[in-house]
This record gives sequence, structure tokens and C-alpha cells, in this order.
Amino acid sequence: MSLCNFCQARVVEGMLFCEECGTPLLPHLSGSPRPATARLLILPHQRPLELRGPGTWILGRKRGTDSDAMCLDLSPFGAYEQGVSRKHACLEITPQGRAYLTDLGSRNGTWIDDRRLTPHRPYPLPQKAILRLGRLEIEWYHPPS
Amino acid sequence: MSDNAFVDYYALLEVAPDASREEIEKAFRRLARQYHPDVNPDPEAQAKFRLLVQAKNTLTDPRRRTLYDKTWRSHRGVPPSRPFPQTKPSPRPEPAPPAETPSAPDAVANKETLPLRQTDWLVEALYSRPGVAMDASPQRLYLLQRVRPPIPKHHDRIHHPLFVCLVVDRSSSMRGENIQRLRRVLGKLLPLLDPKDAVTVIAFSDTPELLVPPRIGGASEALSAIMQMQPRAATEFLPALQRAYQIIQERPRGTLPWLLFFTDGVTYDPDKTLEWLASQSHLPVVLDAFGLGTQWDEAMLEKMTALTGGMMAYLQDEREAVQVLLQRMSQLRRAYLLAAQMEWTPREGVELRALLRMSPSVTLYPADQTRFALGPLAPGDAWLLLWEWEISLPPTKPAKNWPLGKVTFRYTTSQGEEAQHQWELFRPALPLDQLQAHLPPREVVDAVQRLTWFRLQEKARRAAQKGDLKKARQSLHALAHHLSVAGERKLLEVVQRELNELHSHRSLSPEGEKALSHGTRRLMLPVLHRGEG
Repeated sequence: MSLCNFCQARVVEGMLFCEECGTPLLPHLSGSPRPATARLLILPHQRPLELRGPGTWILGRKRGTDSDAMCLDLSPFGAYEQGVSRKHACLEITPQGRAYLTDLGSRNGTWIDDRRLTPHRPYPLPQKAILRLGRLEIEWYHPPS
Repeated sequence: MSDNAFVDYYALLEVAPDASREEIEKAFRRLARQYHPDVNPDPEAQAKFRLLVQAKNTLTDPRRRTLYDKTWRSHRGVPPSRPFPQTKPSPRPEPAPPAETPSAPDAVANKETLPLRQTDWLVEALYSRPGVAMDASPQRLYLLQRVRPPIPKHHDRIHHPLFVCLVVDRSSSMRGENIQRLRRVLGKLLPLLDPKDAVTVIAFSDTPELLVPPRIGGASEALSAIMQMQPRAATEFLPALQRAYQIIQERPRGTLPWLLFFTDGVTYDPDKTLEWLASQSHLPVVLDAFGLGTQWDEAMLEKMTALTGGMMAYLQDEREAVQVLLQRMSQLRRAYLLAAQMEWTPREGVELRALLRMSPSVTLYPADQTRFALGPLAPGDAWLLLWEWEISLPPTKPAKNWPLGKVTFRYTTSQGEEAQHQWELFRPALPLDQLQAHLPPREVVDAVQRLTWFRLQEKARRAAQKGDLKKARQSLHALAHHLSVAGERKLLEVVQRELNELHSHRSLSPEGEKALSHGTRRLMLPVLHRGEG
């Protein structure tokens, strides 16, 4: 039994869409006209999360946030212990396939390849980068569509 | 009718949207004999004749027809063509059920069997995967199936006079906008009935009253009765339905019974009503139910129509409602089979989780049943069914034909003959890794995606009703995301409005709930040229 990458709900073999959040479960099922799949690899766990743009995601901890829409919950990866805020950063993939990361005024800061982000300012993401949310390291990979 | 309003020429000419030029000209000649100013001096007939000429001229000119089809699609939201694109590699036909080749699923890949003759069964099947996974439990399997029973040879001669039985809620809540809207819609529909059609009106509150007894050509009488109807008292469905079925039993021979049920409320005894309707489901009565306003019970109307093969619709947008009704009227006149039922006998460990009829109209059947009423069918139409199974007792060794279950179709032709056809659904049993590498067909993905969206809004509404705002918000946000990716802006606006509503009122708006359901339902209708423009 596996889990939905997006909402961590249980997924049954052969299912095409997550029944909790409607996310396509196979990478090639994207409903987007220009599929652009980005991959986040949570480093200590080596667990890949796939994102299909365009879209906007809040990186943080789901529990306790007042609106957890489109929240990529990092708590299963020890987010709390690693100093990730509930609403830590915002990741956006535009319809043109460009990606941006914005720190949402997190307590412990956000880094792209060792460069600390000024809060509330979107930074363009390169094709490959190491992101750091507090002390949680994430490998970012976004192939050109 | 305003001059620049969209007119459905296909419905007007009573032909299928993929009708050939010959069929269109033939239909025109038939109708012209009825409405030509030389034979019919009625000014309304003259107006109709002008429209018929316009329709014929448009549809018989290939260039104008292409242009018109675009408009038609945008109004109807459905393709004037088959749901499976013809240019794509042909979908694998199911072991079609001809008597002489009893289920030989390997012979199927054989493309020469297509196109089938009209006298054959047409069964096309697209599965989400090429087989059932060995030892994987539980697992899901989806099937998108197009089924069309044999069309009789002289189908173009079929033209049933209708027995239109209007069952109209006149409880006190109908007062105001609801009854006005109903009057406007019927005011457009009734004048388009044939002089040979019979009409009767039953008004109901807690008791039914026969307002207009059945009369051939009684459309104007029916309309004036509805215009004068005064709302009062409460709502009870069962006595009204019983009265309607009783009247329908005594209809003139050769007329096709079409029961149109309009309500804005809930009944006291839903279970008894459903039980009674189930006991009548063998009768060839077409029961379509329409909800007005925001207080009617969608689940109840869906169950009522699912029991009888009819359709349920939200009567909100008047233009859309008139279009739907005209389309339905044309379909019923040409129906070559009635009261079709499908029975599903699963293998042990194969559980049906959903059966969705996507065409000719959308119905999500209660999955705990084994018998499904599919309703009438006209030439040119086919049932498009989406099956969702969960398999908990999968095969343990490889097999060429692992049976999933049996399908039995029973129906009455419009000539009154009864027919039955049965076949078995098979899939090969294969190792899981081999199946995981397989890409599901686009059409199946699309259909399942739309069902998933419908379920998301259901989930949101259920959560909101229980006061679980967080869950409701989650489901709506997820739906908003998928709709925005798919470019479904109109429905996206509804979802966003309801998200605000949740925020400010801690509940969904009654209009919003109906709009969410109606909007996601509409998206379940198959669209051929999705994504163009």
C-alpha cells in the first residue's frame, strides 16, 4: 500500500487519482496541457515528492495551519524537529514552466544553494538546487518541459 | 423565442447530431409535410417551418454545418459525434456478444470486425490496464465501455407520438421565482410538441390533483392550467407518482410515456417512494426529474431516475433547460428501445464501486445494486459507461481469461418485443510489474478524472454539512487546483466563491451546492474536442 505524494492518503494499487485530493497518481496522468513535473527529494529520507505545474504550494507543516490548501506537508519528514514553520515557504510553478520560491516570514529561514532568501520576495529557482527550510534539506529538480 | 437565441437544429429536425445529409433531408421532408404553410395555416407552424428551412440549409452545407457544430458544442457541451475519436487507434472491442462466437476474447483485437453492422451489438471497451494484477490485493480496475444494441432496419421510420405526463409540484414553496421559471420553460417546450402528442398535467402538494386529463393535442390547455396553478400546502411525491403511473397505464396505444417530474422540495417518505418506483421499473415509462430552486434533494431525484433509467437535471439556466428538454424529446420520439436494464453478476472478490452512465445523460448509479436501468436509446446514441471495481481476491497464477463477472442486458423494443443478451467480461491475469509499466488510455483517464472531481465536491459538501470546515476547505481547494490546471474557469469561479462563503459564513451557499454538483456533472458528459479553443 502506498501513499499519495500530495496528501499522504492511502492509495490502492491501480487507482488513477487520489480519492482524497484528486491528484493524478501516475506521473503521466497530468491533466495539465503542458506537463512540467518538478521533483523534491527530502534528503535525509530520500523520499521523492512530485509536483505538476502550474500551481502554487505552501511548504510547511499541515497540522495547525488554518488553511492547509495546497499545503505540502513536511511533518512526516521531521519538519518540526528541523525547524520548519507551519507556513514556511511558497513554491510556485507558472504556466510557462518557471518556478519561484518565496519565504513566508519563517522563523528559521529559507535558503536556495546557501543563499538566504529575503522574506516575502519570490526568487527564481534554477533547474537543480539544494533548498533548505530551517535545517531540512531538499533537493530540487525541475527538468525543462 | 427571441430571434438571436441559439436553436438546436438537430433537436428541431429530430435527427442525431451525427446524422448524414440524407437523413437530414429526409427528416426535413417529413416535418415539412406537417408544418408547410400550405397545409398548416397556424402562425406558429409557419414560424416553425421557417426554422426548419434554416436548419436544413445550414446542416446540408458542409461548411456551414462545421461552423454550426462549433456553436452547438459550446451550447450543449457534448460532441455531435462519437465519444471515442475515430482517428485514434481503435479501442479494443469487447468480446462482442454474438451468439455464434461464444466469448472468444482473443479474437477481439481483430480490427476487421469494425465497423459493425447496425444489426450487430456494438461493444467497445477501454480498460485502465491490460489485465488484472496477480496477487495484488486490493486493486482498482476501470473500464470505459460503449454499448449499443442492434438498431432495427427501418429505424428512420420510428417516430413515436409522446404521452407527456407533467407532474408538477405546487407546494407553497414553489411560490415566486420557482414557479415562474417552470412556467417560462414549459411555455417554450409545450408549443413545440406535435399535434399528435397527448398531454396531461398532475399538480401535487400533499395530495395529487389531475389538472388536465390526457388529451391529444392538449398542449395549450396544459400550459394555461400551469399558468393558473396556485401553490399551496406541503410536498409528497408518492401519491402523485402513483396517480401518474395509473394514468400512463391507460394511455393510447403506440404512444411513448414521458413523465416529467418537477419539484423544489423534499418528500416525507423517500424510502417508500423509492421502493414503490423499484417495483415499477420494468414498465417502459421514462421518468425524468427536475429540481427547481435550492431546497430539493438531489440524491433523492438521482435515485428516482436511476431506478427508471431517466435523467435528473437542475432547472436553473432556462435556455439550457429548454435545450435539454428538446434534445430529450427528439431522442424519445426516435427511441428504438425502452426500459433497458443491465444486470451485473460479479465474480467473488470483485466489488463494483461505481457505475457511471456518461451518455446519453449523466447518472451515477448507487453501487450497491446489481440491476441498473439504462433508459431509452435512439439511433445514433450509445450508452457510455464507466465502471470502477475493487478486486480483493485477485488471480494467483497467470491466466489468459480471468473472468470479472457477467453482464446481462434486457430491454423492450419500441415494437414491444423483449430481448436479452448476456456476455462475460474477461481480463488476462498478469504480473504486477508488467501492468505498472502500462499507460492507461487517455479516454479512461479523462473519465475517471471527471468522476474524481465530482466526488471531491460531494466530499466538500458532506464535510461542510457536518461542520468539518477544514475538510470541506481542503476538498474545495484541491478541486480548485485541478479545475485551474484544466482551464475550467467557469466552474472554478463557483468553487472560489464557495471557498469565500465557507470563510465568511462557515457553510456553503445553497445555490453554490447545487452549482457545484451541476457543474461537475456537466463535465462528466464526454466531449470529443476537449481542449480546442
